[in-house]
Amino acid sequence: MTISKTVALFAALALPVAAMAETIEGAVDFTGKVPTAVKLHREADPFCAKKPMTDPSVTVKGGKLENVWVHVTKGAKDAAKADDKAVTMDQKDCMYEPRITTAVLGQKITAKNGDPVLHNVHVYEGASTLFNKGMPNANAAPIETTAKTEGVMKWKCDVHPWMRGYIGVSKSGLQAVTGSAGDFKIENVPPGKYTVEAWHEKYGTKTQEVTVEAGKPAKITFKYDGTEKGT
Amino acid sequence: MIRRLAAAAALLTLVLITAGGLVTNTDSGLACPDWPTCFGSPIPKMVGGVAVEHTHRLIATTVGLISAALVVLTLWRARQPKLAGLAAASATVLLGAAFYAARVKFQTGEVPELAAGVVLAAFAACIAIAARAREADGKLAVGALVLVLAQGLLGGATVLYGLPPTVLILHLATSMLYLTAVTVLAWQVSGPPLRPSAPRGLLRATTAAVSFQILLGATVRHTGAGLVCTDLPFCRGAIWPLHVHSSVHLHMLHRAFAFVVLALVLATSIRLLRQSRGLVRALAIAAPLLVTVQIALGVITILTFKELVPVTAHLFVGALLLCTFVTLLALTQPAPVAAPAHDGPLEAAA
Repeated sequence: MTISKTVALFAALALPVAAMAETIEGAVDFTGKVPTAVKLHREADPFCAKKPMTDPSVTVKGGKLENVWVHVTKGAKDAAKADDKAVTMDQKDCMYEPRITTAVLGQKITAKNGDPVLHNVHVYEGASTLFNKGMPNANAAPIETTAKTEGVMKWKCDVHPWMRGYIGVSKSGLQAVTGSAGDFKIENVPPGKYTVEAWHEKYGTKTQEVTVEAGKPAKITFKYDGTEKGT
Repeated sequence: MIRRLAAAAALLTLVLITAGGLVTNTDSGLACPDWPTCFGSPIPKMVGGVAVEHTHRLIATTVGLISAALVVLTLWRARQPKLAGLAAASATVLLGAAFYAARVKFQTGEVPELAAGVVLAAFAACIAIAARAREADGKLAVGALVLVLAQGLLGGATVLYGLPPTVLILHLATSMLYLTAVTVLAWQVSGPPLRPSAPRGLLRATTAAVSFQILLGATVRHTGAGLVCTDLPFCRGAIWPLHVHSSVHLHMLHRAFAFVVLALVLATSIRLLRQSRGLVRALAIAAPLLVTVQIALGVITILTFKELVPVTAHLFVGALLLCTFVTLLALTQPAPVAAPAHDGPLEAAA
């Protein structure tokens, strides 16, 4: 069998499988009264004080909630292969950037400091400290770690207590984070029945069941009203 | 029985304070969104932050029950059983109203005024009962019960109001007051004090300084000022930087006052070592060591960016130091002037 024939055979087998992979997409609605974003008290550090900011923990635009980690918790058959590219959590203007992102089990995570001031990177898995290291300034060597446990990694800076960041870690890799329009799209989902969970840093989790059928995207909408008390 | 219970309350309060420190230092304060239940359950699934927070609550409940038992036993011993019943009833009504108010607050965001009024009235009743208690032990036991009830309610408020710094600071301050009360009670019921010749004025001043330093530490901790200075021994390159945010001054005050406490503790210990023996002498030796360890823990807390063990140990040793000086005050207490016993109107009515 020639190489071209082998490639063609593989393509013939793989294409239908790829075509079967659908998406779970939708949005996260916020139906309650949107809390006023309070001013962050960053005055203690002269560098941070230069740029006044408000608390970004609840960001709602047009009734849609941003920064919600939406991920499949049940139904996924395969573990995702960790991307070779590391997930980066940067510290810019005394804030974690991005506020929330995702990683797959086994994926490398890199912490950087883009500020000229000291930040300590204090990372928790639940109530346990994963590591707590100082990064004196922008010249500090990046800190590298690996996503080892499913769930939310919480990032804190104790020098600047308002600094928070989150990484949602999933085994299946079937996950997304809502953008500024409050929408999300989980790609490469094989047909089947799934449990999908939405997690927000302030309002906690919501769960929905969804059936993905071949040939069309599955749509779901999560709703928060602001009375939820999550962790 | 009373002696053992009071000692158990004091020791368990040290454990409780340390557990409270773990709640803050593991960021578990809001792991349970409701109070006094956790996700609606008295015994939730004990994992992660929920385990840390709810263990703290369960220890607090045990301390509260011991405190209630102390009230009943001390008043019973003083032949005031009806006052004991009244105290137990007041505490039950207070907790019932507080739990109801907390439930409504959690569900609707509003505190029901009637329930809040009942809580305040029950507190007033407890204070009146303390005033009517015939013996000092009974007064102290009821006072301690009032403090532990207030402490529990403040703990609930920290959860229901999303960890406001003022409530957190009050929560810690009340815990230290309660520790003081049960420590005094434990020594008071253990028999007459040793009454060695002691510098009472200096002891009081040192105890007050230790208490103030703990309050400063709580304010530093709960206003996020713990790492506003990360260089040592200086702060931002100066002995005491000027034209900086108030949190930097607060942090520096906590550092500087540590040396005031050290000086007072050393002075007290030297005076006590000259004049005493036995337990007082042992505590006089232990006190400067505790302060030295405490200062070292403060330094390590900064150098490790508030690593869990040193920052929690810093709170524990602070509480232990307070306990040491309260014990010294209790053990060196001069003989009281005998006062005639009398029945107050509340007891007479009961």
